[in-house]
Amino acid sequence: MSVIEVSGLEKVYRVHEKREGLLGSVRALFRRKYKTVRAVDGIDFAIEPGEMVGFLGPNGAGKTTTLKMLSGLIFPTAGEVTVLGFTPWERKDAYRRQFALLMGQKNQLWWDLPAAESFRLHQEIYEIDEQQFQNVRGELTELLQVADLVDQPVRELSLGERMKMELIAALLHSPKILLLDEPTIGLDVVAQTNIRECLRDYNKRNQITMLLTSHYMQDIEALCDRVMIINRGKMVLDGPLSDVVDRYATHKVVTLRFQDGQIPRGLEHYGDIVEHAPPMVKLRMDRETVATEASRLLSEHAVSDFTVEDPPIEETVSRIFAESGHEQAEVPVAAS
Amino acid sequence: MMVGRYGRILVRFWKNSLIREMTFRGHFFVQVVGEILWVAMILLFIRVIYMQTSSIRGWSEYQYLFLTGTHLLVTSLFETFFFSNCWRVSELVRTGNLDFVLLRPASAQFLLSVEKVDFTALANVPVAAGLCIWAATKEGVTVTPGRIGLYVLVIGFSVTLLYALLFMFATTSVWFVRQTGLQSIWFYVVSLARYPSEIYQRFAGGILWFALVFVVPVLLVSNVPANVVVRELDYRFVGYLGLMACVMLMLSTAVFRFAMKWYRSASS
Repeated sequence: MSVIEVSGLEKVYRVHEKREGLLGSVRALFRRKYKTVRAVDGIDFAIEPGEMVGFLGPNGAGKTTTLKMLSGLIFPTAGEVTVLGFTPWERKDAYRRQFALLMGQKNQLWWDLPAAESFRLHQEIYEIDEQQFQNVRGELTELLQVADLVDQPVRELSLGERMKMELIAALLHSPKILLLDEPTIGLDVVAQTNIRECLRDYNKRNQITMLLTSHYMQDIEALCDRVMIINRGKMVLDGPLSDVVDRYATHKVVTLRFQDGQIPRGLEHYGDIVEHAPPMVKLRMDRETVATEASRLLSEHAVSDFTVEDPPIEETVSRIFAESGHEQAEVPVAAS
Repeated sequence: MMVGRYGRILVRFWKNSLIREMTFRGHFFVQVVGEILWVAMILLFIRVIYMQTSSIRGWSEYQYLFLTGTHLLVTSLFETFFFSNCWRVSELVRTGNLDFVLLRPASAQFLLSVEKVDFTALANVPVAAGLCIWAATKEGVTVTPGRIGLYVLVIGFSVTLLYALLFMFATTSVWFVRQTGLQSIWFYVVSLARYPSEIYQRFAGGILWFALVFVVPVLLVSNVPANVVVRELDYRFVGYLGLMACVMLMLSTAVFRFAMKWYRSASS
């Protein structure tokens, strides 16, 4: 049985349209213009226990709004949501004990105190048994390599260290569902990798269900087998990550290294040159003709090394964003 | 079980506030000195007035000083435990950080209302208590343990009433987003409730008296407890203050629950 079930979920906001300049502001005091924004526009999906799902979309696509409805922070305009059998916006304590929401851009720890004090507060609020508290805290501080930092005031920690503490705070009560909104935003590569590894490891050990939004495709590639792509509030794609490339990548990237170190002329007839660094060159070739074109190229030139790869996932995803932005109806929605 | 759990959360909040306060010692001392100077000025002001007259609408100088001590006690207790929490509501709504309060498996109103303790305001409590004891002794009132118990109870009603009113006002930030009027409202409350209620009863002041007793009953918060000890004990007003405290507290919970349905959670 699915742990998260969403059907026909909608959130419509009425937003005050701010007119430009001082005069506009004065006019707005008496008469305001409003516009309607459909932040989430009738989406459906279901997530099974233990799944790690990547939730992608450009800025303003409706990802965060969806996460906030799943966590019961805001009420939907229409639609049904069941998470662990609960309706989130009823805000039942029994539900709130079983999930956590981690937001990369918001801070829940006491700023002037060591994280250890905030952890203790969580222990009281979530009524965490002392043994479990010690176990989880110990496990996570070790996984994230921050055991020696928990007694330092949070304001003295780096962004990456702070985020790790936030993650520990979110997991202290051993939630069954973890909703992550940009957990690695602004972090350096080392901290990003650390957090990713911790999440993967934690999922493996505890079978926690995760729904993750991120602007970094590496996060999604490292953690999620399944992605959901949303744009302008509508679901554009929901399926295995490999499907994204199989279905949407229109070309392959071919890397060639030439024996004499010289790059021959006329390579543009085989495909678009995307990188030119003698003795290496990268060509973008049409997916359907790559086999024949590549073998023709190999027979006509002396090539010492040759690879064919899929284009970077970011590129394919941003193409899906762009297409779905302009021609929503034409992009098919894959079954999950 | 429930009380025990909330009690433990409260203790943890207080402990965290104390640790935080001790980190900023300098700030604490400057604030306390400022508060003491302010109290000294008020006392001087009262002395100056009573150099012109021996009674203000039936209040002798020591009775008035007792009223001032009671007022300081009530407002300091409110400021210690609730003011900064009410003040923070608007900020939490504007930044979307109210999210973290709503995610917790506990009463959001409770968590919001008691998270921070202002220890500088708490420093005024012994000053206020000292002023009350001194004024009552000088006035020559004989206080029974029963009367002291009633005084403490009424002070509880007063603080509860102030909390409910200010929290309700703070809750409106869900609709107005920026709601910094709380500070002004509190300033008016402190200014108006400091004086004997009788001074408002003459001429046009009667309208103000009616409004501050029956509409927004802030005039009762210092006057009723002071009357219990140094003047006439009128059970009607004690009962009315208790009733208003309960009604307003329930109303603040209803308003907060309703407001939380409108919370938009500013974007991340």
